[in-house]
Amino acid sequence: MADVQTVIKHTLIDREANNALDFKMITFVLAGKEYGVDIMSVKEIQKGSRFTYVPNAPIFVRGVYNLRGDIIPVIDLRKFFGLPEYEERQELEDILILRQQDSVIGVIVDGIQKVVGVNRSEIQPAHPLFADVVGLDYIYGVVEKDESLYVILDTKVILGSDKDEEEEEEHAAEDKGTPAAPAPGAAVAAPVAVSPAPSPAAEPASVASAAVVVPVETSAPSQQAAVEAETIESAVSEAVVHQKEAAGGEAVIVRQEEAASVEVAESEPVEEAEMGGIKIASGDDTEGPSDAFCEGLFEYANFCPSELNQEWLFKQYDHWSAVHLTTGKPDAEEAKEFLESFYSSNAAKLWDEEMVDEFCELVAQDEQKITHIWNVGSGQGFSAYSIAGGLFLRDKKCKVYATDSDLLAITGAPGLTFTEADIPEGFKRAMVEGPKGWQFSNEVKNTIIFEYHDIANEHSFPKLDVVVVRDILSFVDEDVFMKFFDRIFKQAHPGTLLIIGDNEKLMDNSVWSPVDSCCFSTYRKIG
Amino acid sequence: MRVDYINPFVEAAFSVVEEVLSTKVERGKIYLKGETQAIMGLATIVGLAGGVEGRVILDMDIPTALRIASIMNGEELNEVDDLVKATLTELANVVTGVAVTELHEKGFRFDLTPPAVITGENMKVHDIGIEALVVPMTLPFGEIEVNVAIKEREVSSDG
Repeated sequence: MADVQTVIKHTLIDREANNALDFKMITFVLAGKEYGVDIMSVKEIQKGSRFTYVPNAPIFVRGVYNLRGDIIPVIDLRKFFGLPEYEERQELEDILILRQQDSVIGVIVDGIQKVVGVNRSEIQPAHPLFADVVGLDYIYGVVEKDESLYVILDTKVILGSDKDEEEEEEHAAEDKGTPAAPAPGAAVAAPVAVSPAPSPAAEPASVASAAVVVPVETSAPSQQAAVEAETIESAVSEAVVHQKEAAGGEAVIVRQEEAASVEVAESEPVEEAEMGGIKIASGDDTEGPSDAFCEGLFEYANFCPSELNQEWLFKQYDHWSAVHLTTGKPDAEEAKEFLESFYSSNAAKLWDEEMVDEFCELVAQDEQKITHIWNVGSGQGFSAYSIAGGLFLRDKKCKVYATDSDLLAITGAPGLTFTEADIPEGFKRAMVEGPKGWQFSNEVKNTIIFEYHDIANEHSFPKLDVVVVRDILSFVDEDVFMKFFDRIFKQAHPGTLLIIGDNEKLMDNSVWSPVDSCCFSTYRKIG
Repeated sequence: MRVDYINPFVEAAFSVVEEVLSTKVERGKIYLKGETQAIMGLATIVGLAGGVEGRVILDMDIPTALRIASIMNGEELNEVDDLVKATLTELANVVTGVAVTELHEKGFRFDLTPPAVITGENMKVHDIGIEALVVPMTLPFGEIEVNVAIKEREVSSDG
């Protein structure tokens, strides 16, 4: 708020002070007049266009803008002050990004000029005459410099942090019952800061930081105004959600026609974007195994029924219930028997020729490049050796990170030996015979890093081109499952391959698209 | 945690503690801990650098720490003073040093940072993007946990 007294005091005290340029402002033009704002309140200057439209927002809110991932509201200063539209508007408009504590807001002006330094003592209180286009309340002071007269705007008021002021203005407006149309002066008063309510899907942190300045229409009684503020609030948060999606690669354009029905756009697609494109359906109990049955599978075999294995589970249950009487909770033996057919082929031995061929074809890459592969749940190391050996024989470079949470199995993996009978013909060329049996050559071994790791914990890899996680995700709870996908979503790049268990299947999603393969259940990350 | 690192640390912890304290040490089950771990009361930290990044923590409660320091110094110590802290940093240094020497022989290059002692109640350690291997050891008079978190330094080049 333009604190006239403070300014006068400053003027008196600082009159004899040195002529240091202790107040720097960024100047800009608006409707042919020159204005300035305190440089300390300017976060940065941007050029932008095509702001995401926010339905039902006040007329001066141009929309929201994605400032390197932060969604900020953008207002048009001309409209804010009830000025006519700028005729020479360029494609890219000048935006001042203002910051006031936690709220960041973009302000569109006609043109940003330069930085002007003045002495604080030179700033004079605004004369009411200056308030022709801009309300006096918004003026911090005026200053003359190099034959130009700058009106310094008070960003605190524009950002709407001065609560008392708002209330006063609101009451004043109510009493007067001024016309609805924004007119210069009184009608543009009463800015109300609206922090959008945290929407269920979008991260509330970034949304909350973008407080929107919304002046309540002056003619509206306060109750209606509150209602309006609420709609704006939801409208803004909706738009933020859409903008987020757009930022996440899924372009959703909210057109003006759609604006009327804001509530229509529900949170479903957002959920997808949130969790790395993966979701788990909760209780879809049409038919299939009973809860008690699933409980038994979990208790004795740690098997977690989910979307991932639902198709197999239902089919297997059909077979099972045809010959078995147990439909309630199975015992340990039964659970084991039930799950026997679940495990992927060659889970506990070296892969056969066909699988290796197919795998190498799937990861086919530039021969010079190293393929980074994360083999989750490598156990004793069979799959890791199959991958590394197969690629080695085809002269492809790779780095395999083979992890498992079974300490005994994984510590034994580096020294894993095979009997001759266990080795598929093709692999022999990559192996050497030692006193205890056959082992892979050091060249192959050097491409594998065996790690003791639990996927419930964090772990970062330099790069991920392929993730092989067969039969693991059906044995972790939902929380770990989600965390896992969130992680590979962040660490993978477009084109990264994901191989899950033969009997596992991802439900349709926007991130992982299925790849045709006869040996593996494979997905590729969409760009 | 790379499996090659596990044994050197486990072996070093047991052999050093058994030798220094001339007492029997019972092995607990080795396991992994997530990002946040509580500290029992007194912890010594030795940082690892070089080809990897990480740290080794020797974690114990105060009575155990005092007992260990008393044995190592051959006199009865009843409060956590400078001598106790110096003694425990020395223990941490020896354990880590032995492990790193062994790893060095296998071709892994580690550097150590000077140890630090941290004491207090209700403390937690947060490691970002890294999990910790915990080796619990039971002594006749208390427990020590050796807590090792090591991350391969990310190599940017593809070659």
